[in-house]
Amino acid sequence: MSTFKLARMRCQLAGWLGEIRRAYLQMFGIPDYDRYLTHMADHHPELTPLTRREFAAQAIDRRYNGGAGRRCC
Amino acid sequence: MKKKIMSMLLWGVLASVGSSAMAAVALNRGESVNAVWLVAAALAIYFIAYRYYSRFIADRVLGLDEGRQTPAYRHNDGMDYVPTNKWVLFGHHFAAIAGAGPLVGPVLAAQMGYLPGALWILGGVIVAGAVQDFIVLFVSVRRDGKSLGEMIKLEMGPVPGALALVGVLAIMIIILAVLSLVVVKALTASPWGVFTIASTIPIALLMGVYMRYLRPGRVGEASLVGIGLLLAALVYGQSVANDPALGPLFTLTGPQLAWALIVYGAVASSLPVWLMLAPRDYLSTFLKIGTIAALAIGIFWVAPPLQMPQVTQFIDGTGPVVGGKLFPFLFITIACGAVSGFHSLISSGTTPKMVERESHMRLIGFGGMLMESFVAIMALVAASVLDPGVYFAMNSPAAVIGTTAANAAQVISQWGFAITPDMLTQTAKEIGENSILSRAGGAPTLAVGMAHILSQALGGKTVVAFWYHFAILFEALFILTAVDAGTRVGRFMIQDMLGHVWQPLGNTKWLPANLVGTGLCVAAWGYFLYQGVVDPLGGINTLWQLFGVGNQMLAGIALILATTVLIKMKRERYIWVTLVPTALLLVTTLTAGLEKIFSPDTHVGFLSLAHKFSAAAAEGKVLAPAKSLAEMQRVAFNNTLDAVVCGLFVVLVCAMALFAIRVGLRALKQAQPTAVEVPAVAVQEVRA
Repeated sequence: MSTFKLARMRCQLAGWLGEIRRAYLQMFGIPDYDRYLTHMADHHPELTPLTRREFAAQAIDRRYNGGAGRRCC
Repeated sequence: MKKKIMSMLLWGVLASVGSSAMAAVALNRGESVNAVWLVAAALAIYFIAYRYYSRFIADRVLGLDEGRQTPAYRHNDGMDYVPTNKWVLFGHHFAAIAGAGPLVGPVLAAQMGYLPGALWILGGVIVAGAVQDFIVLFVSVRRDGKSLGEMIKLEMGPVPGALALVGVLAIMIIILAVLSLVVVKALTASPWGVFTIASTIPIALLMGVYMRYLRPGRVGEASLVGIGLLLAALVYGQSVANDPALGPLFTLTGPQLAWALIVYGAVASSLPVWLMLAPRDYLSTFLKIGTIAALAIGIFWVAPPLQMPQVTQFIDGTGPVVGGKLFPFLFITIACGAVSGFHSLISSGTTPKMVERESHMRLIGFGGMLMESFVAIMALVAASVLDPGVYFAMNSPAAVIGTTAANAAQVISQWGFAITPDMLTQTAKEIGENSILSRAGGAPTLAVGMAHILSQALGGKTVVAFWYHFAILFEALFILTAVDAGTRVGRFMIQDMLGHVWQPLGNTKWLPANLVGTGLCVAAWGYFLYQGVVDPLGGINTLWQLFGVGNQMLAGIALILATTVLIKMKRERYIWVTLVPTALLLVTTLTAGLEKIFSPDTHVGFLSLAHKFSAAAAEGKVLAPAKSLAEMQRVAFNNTLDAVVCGLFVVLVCAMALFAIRVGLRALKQAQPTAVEVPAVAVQEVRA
């Protein structure tokens, strides 16, 4: 196998792992940070986006505060 | 054409597999049936219902529109309103709806045999449960992700909206009490269990700090660390329990545990969410999904026979676990798994804000509920693979079977479920506990059943105790999360109501107001919990049924809303889709509710039991199992209170039905649709 092919496979694997990571973060109620950045760049270029840390902290606060953190019986 | 024939063939095969599996389960006489048949029948039924009925609802009844933009696009903010992959959202939604409910109800209902419970779980989910979740999600998506209360206000008027909120708060309080009671019953005099559950608190705090300060937002890493520590605590718990110094320290009585939970609820719900609630929720979600998957694989791998009879003599209402005849009490004992009103709050919570396309709601709403139903079937299997003698020993109150293994074995053998005292003590020893008698509440029974299945798949007899405590940990963990989150929600609702009386109390940013709200909420569920713990009649048989009535009433209210919306959309041709389950729920729950209040049978009716005890107390007599006049008075008072709560549910749902009839009749006369939807905008217009 050529090094080029190997590198491509590694790249693909990293992409999949990233997808899985993002998917399961969303299942736990933490929205995708990269998508948020894209959204901010597209729609609100004049605003400074939150840092990753602020974004995660806010996501947790919103999910569990304000009565949205309902769990079923 | 060829594809179509192939597909028809495939579904035909699935249908015949399902029906022969069901026939094997239902028609078999005498011999014990293998659990695999039941699980296979359930899966086939779910697939067929999903393929045909949910598609019919999606295409014909609701008219889902692929091109219509959802709130996730309309309000896309990259945070709350985000178009989300449908499988990811399915996972998100399922993790939010599935809690302890589908695990406890089926275990309690197994006293009537496995067949009545299985038929109700399978029939109920298709006719009522999945339909409710799906349509409420749809109604919310068409209204910008509004909550159930707001939608009732919008479509039916402000009075029904306010009534619904009162109902939701009452159910919330009963749920918190009954779930806490399940934990108390599971942990009483169990140092191993108490140690592992207690150690989840420092573990969660550690994870919270890790995710906030050390490695922000790294949920995966923190959860792996947390699970590692949790397993260590689980293994170490056995040594703690056997330690002469530490063991007694973690051996708590029921009332002590009740107080511990009340204090925990008050403190935990006042901490910042990132410190304890969020990390604990991640842990419990991981464990929940992992354990449910393990149980499903375990059942297929081990293929255990169902030892519980198909139907027992207890369908006549004399059962020791929960009172009341098959109709209507089966239908309120199993709520979650067949139909759960609580889901309407989640289907109108965060999920509708993340739906990418309308067609996805079929998988998320209908499919998510089928998944929960499957969990309920597995809980039923876990309870039914146990020796029935062990099952009844674990679930009957001490007032019926006494407190010694010899006595319990004798009483239960008289019922026709042969068991020896040896078998009872042997089972207790295997799971690493002193006694298994009267551990009502579902969790311990499920844990023994799971240990029975999982130990055969992995590890054999030597690790039964480990699996048992793992299962207890798994249930207690997400019940404690629910207690924490539920107390917060309850506080917000109470503050919202108090704000109408005196405005500053409604301010959720003002500490004294928060303390008042939290205090009231904890006091309310704490009262029911404590009374349940000290109730000589067992507590769970009262509280669980009260919860069942409340939860089914909420489902009734959600389905009434769905029916009203269908009429207002001018889709009255298909109104039976929601009207049939509404009628089913109203008939069963109103009968159950009224029987619970007024039945002259003291085994069932709250008022007759209250009357019996207060009358005897007035004459100065003490009736067993009460031990003093004060206890007599307490039984009388609590049963009257339970009757009042039950009456509240009955009145609420009747009022809702009347409002709905008025609104519905008015809408029928209109020639045009009058449903208050957000105007349709095509997806392309937004994207451009």
